[in-house]
Amino acid sequence: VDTKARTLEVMTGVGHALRLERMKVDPACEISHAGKKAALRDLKRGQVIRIQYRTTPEGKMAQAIETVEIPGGGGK
Amino acid sequence: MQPRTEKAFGTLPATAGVLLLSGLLLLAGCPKEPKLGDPLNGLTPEQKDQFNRGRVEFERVFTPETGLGPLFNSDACAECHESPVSGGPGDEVELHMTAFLPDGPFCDPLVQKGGPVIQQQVTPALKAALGIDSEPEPPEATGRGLRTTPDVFGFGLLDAVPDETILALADPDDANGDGISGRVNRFFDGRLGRFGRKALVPALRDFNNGAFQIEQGITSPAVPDEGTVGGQPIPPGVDPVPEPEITQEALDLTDAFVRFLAPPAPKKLSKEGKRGEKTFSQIGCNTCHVPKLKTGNHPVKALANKEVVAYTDLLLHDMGAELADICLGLATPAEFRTEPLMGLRLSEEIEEGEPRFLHDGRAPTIEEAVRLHGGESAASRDRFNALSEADRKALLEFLRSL
Repeated sequence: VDTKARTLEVMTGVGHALRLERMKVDPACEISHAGKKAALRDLKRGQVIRIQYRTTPEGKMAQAIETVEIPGGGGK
Repeated sequence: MQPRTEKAFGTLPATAGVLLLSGLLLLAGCPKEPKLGDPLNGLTPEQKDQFNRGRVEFERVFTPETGLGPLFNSDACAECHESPVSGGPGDEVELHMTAFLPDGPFCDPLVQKGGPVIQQQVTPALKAALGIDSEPEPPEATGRGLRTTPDVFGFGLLDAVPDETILALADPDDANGDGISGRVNRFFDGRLGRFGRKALVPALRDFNNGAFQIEQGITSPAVPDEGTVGGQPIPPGVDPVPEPEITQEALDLTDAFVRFLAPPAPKKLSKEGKRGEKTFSQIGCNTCHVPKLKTGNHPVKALANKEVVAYTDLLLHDMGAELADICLGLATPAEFRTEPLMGLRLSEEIEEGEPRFLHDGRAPTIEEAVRLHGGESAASRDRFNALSEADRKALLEFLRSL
């Protein structure tokens, strides 16, 4: 996450065909973390996020970002 | 005088006749065990048709004119997964590279440099444009992992094992104190991983869809772009076939072929082999190589609520510094998914090249592969090393039956 430039890089892909998506973050982008309103600086490297974006002539523009909680577990 | 047989039947009481008939019907309804490369029992005629048509796609050989490359590892699925039939293991070895950044710790799959799969072949057009014979290796990589070609028999069943089953086997903090601390890997979107030597890939469909692009340079509706050459755009004119290079139908059929491949039936065990099977459990191999998993509910009846004798827990385990190579997702360089042992004998019986075992093929025999286990498996390995020669032979005979 580059908070100054309001951009982020997201790892995505299918199987081992991985892709790095670079996105701008719309000033009006709604960001939520653990169900609460958050800021871009609250997003940390390695966090799983879900993004809604639109494609603009300048590239992809994030409209909404929410962090996704990963369930733990275990009991062997 | 009536013939003897006719007379005998004629004297059978009515109830015995009914019992005999029932027995015959049961035998007729008992499906034959699938041979290697056959589909699962219990598929519908439509699913069998998809399987058969999918085999054609799996065996289809691509050329640059039909979409191959510009970077690739192989020109057909069945070029690598080939021995002794399509879907079996192969002698090809590929290269994966990533960077493990200890601050975090965080794994960078080096996508911006062409990682994590560094393709080993190029089309003539790409060679002419860039003068390279393979994708450049990223200098930022901290790990270099060779990967052998596994068989894919029974993978549809592994795909149908519920996440909850895998999570229930996990013990990330070794709470039970047995020295084994399996944990799950997760894809970048948070889904639980299970395919690939580092268990990064959550679903068989993802694995198959991704493989077309990453292994053959074939774009599809699922992966519609060719990616990069070491992070640089593909030079204009070297990939003339418009995207996507295969249809959704071809993708679906290939997936159906892999999904419906039956697991290899284990060989019948001798008395020694049965003793080896017990030893396998006694020395603790079964803690990670969990003999049976059960699939959950599934829209394909042949995959629903079935036992799969896979000998894996689909979890990551620390295998020690000697085997460590790359990180991937949450997996550290030393962590590998427990390799399913179903079909193990096929790698020993491989028709081309030399047998190779372990993720990178460094072990020429099953015995050597066991001896190279480290980390969490060191205690079991030591117990293996301490076995009498007869017990060790019995255990290896069991492993060769899988």
